Amino acid sequence: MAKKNLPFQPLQEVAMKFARLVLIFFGVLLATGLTCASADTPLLLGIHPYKAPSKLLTAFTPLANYLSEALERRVEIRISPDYQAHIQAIGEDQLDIAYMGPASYVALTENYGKKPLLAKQVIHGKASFRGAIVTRQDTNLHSLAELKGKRFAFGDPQSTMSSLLPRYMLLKAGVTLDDLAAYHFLGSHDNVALGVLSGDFDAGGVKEAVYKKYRPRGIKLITYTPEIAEHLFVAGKHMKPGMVRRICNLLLDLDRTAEGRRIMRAIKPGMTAMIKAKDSDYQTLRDILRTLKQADRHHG
Amino acid sequence: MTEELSRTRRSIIGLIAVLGIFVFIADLLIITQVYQRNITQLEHSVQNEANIFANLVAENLNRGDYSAVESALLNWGAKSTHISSIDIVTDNGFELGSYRKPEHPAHWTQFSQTIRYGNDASATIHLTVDTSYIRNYVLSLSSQLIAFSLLLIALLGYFLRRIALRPLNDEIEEHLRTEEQLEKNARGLKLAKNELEAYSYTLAHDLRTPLRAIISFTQIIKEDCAGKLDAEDMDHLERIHHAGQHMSALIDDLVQLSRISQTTVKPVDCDVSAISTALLEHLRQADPDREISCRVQPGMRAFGDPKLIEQLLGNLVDNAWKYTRKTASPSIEIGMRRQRGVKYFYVSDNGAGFDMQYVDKLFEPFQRLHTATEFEGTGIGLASVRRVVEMHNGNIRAEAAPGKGCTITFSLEPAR
Repeated sequence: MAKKNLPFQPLQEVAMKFARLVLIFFGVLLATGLTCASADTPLLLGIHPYKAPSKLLTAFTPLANYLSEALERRVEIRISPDYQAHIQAIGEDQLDIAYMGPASYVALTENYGKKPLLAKQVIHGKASFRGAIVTRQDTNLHSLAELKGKRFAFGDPQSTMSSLLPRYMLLKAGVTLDDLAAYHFLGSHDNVALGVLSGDFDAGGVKEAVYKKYRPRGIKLITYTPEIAEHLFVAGKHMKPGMVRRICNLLLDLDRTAEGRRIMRAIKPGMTAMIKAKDSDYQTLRDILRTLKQADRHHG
Repeated sequence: MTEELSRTRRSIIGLIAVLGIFVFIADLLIITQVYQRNITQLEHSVQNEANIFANLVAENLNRGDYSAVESALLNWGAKSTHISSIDIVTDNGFELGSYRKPEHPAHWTQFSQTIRYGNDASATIHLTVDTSYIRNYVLSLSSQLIAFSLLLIALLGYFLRRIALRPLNDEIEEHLRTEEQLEKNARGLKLAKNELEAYSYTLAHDLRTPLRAIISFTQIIKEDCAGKLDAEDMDHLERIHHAGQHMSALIDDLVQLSRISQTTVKPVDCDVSAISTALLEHLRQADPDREISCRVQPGMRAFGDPKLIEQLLGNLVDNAWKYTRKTASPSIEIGMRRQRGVKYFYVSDNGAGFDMQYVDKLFEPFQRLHTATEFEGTGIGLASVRRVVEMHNGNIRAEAAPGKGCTITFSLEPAR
């Protein structure tokens, strides 16, 4: 298995530039629209494309309807073409509300400064999540330092839990990518777990849920990653503080009604509540990503 | 005839049995062949499918897309009609994916196919293929084949029976009809014979009374008129008296012959030597002046009716005694010899004998080879003898030469 440079490749850069152009075009459209807009200009709810668009529409429509009713304003769902475009769209305030993952939020603040935070999700009572570095139960591996000279499986190069955090953990343990006998990006958490179980890789990084799912089939934990704050809703900087506060309260109130809990379950089955989010919740991840960037720069 | 029929029937059954075994073996061969061919075809098609699937899985694995394997596997399993389970196991024994149809088949075979991916990694596909439908097909085929074979054998058996047994049956029927006719004829003949014999007995018996009157009154006249009549008249009277006595003897013999014919044979073990000795002794006492050398072989026994045998021997011994009267040194011999397991008794004398050209008349009633003046007699004796021998299913013959004696040989059992 050949080594690959990560995380960006020339093709991705070209795609990004194209996406940026498209978004600028949309941005211009939006700006012209806003100037001549009346009070019923729709509120734009942006979603990053972590699932198929049709599924995302189904998942977020109840929330959009709920907000629309409460705010007495149309709410439209916008699904961004990719993660980078999503960050840019909210960074440039082309969206009013954006749902995003922790890594995207860190990238957003790095590039565009702070934005008003609305709420972060709570899954089964927890507002944070973590990844796991796993191996097979029949190996003698017990620590990250022992992974030198071994084969390692990552998920998607951009994935926080299956790629960024594992790299950071290896780095902390003194294992660079060059120290590994081989590594490969398998695209998904499940692939990582199955790759490790199949014996094609000695260890891999997955989110905790996937580790628990495959534990009965023979997977063993080497170590957990640090806890990272959950996905969150961000508001555009152009939004009036009153509006931001109203939306924030609407989200925080979701767990009080059965209807609200149904809305949350539509977005993610395990979601039990929305709670207040602070920028400092994401400091851990911010530090980790900085460390990785430095390491890349050093390496490059 | 019936034996031939059952022999033919047995050979038909044997032929059908051999044919049945042959057809059974042929059926077995066909069924095995069909089963094997179907299994081979199934193996071939499954192997092709497995090859295609292995390539697909190898592509997924080369990309590192392990979870795609499971969905591909489920997809293949759901689409395939014969595959009842699929397992993909990696080199280290990990089950990467597994598919199971809800119902495990009753009959199945297993296949394996190796998947090569990456640099030198490999995994194995284990397949269970449902062969129940082949089995069911072969079973229904077998029942059809067996039914057809049985029908064939039954038809063949029926026609063989018709062709081979029909003429024999016809012939047997014809024989039975003839036999019946013959029996009917025999019954009629026997009835006629019995009637005739009863008639002759009655006739003979009824003749006795007038005859006795003739003889008695002739005797009275002879005694009363002795000296009154001249010699010629006396001679005539004497002739009448003599003729009457001869006739009386004739009637006695006829009655005896009829009695013999009407007797039923009650055979027991008889001492022939003892009977012969007693008869000779009786003659010797009746005629003590004669000197005859008599020899009776000791220990002769026969299975027959003792009364009839006594009559038979009595007639023969009487004849021998009578015909040796004019011989210088007469001798009578009674003996027995065995020929092909049959006892032949003989009564031999060195008396007058007779010319063998008249031998055919010897055993006929009222036939005499000597004149009454030479030797008295009625001509019934040997006829009775022959009758007794015939009633014992035996044979009789005579050998003689004029002046050199006569030997009568008889048996009391059928020749073999």
